[in-house]
Amino acid sequence: MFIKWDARYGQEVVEIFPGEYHATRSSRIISTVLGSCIAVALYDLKAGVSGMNHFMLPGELQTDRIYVSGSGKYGMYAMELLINELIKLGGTKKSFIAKVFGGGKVLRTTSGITHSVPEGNITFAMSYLKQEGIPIAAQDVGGTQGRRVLFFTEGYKVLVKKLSSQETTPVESEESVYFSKIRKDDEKKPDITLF
Amino acid sequence: MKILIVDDSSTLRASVEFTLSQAGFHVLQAEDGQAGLAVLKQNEGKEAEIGMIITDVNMPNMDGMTFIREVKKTSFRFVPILVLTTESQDSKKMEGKAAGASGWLVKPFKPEQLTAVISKFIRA
Repeated sequence: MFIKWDARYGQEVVEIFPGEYHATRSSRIISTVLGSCIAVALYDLKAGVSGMNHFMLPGELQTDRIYVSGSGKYGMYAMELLINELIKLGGTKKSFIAKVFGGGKVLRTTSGITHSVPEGNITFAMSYLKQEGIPIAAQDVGGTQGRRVLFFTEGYKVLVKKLSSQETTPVESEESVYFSKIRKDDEKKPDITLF
Repeated sequence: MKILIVDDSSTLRASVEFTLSQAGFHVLQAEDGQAGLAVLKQNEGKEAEIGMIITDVNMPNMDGMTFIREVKKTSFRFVPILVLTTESQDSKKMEGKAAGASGWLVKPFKPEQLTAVISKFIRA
């Protein structure tokens, strides 16, 4: 993650990468580039807090019952990190509204990511938000192009720019590395402490 | 044998219920600490039926640590409590231990990891 000043919009821009999330009470832009990954923007109008994440499931979803799927558990974890951060900033889950982006079939299957992975990412995000009772105000998902997503935390508007194949190439390698990492993380020993 | 799961995520509660019901447990659910205490109150007199309590940390209305401390003041104070959370810092784990937790499992977890931890405390 890094923060920079965007002269065009006259605001701070927080750039997040695969596996990251950012939540804030400040007026800024949260930005990310998506290929197969999903980004969920959440905001609470009453509390004035908002945030966005960027994640991918470590494998195919295999079932609509996302809580049964081994891959779904990673998505639940990614969403909970963002939700917890928003709650710590004063947000109330019952007031959250979501906007969902990404899940494009942009990666070559040589990366190890089959085309069912972006579909699973979309299915997970939609099913999770429905199960949690969080309404979806907007979405731009699927297709075969990458996306640059700009989430304006003041006003909660989102700008989405579809990317050309050339512009998506750097995203492909970032997401491939991230995909390999979360697959390895899935094999790690659990963090269990008995008192 | 019953297990109470306290977590503000409906999806997480469904996940735990699916896993534990397959292992033979009857699962009670609550969406936060206050609701968890209400479930326990409804089960007063049947303390022996509740084998374990599983709780998240970050929840609205009443967080996990406060919930654990309140449980320890009730007739369910001898029921083992497992904290199931994204928090992994040692300081948080020590806070849980001081509150009265019996164990700490960091998310994400696999179903067999959850049932393995629970089996150290109770059987279905």
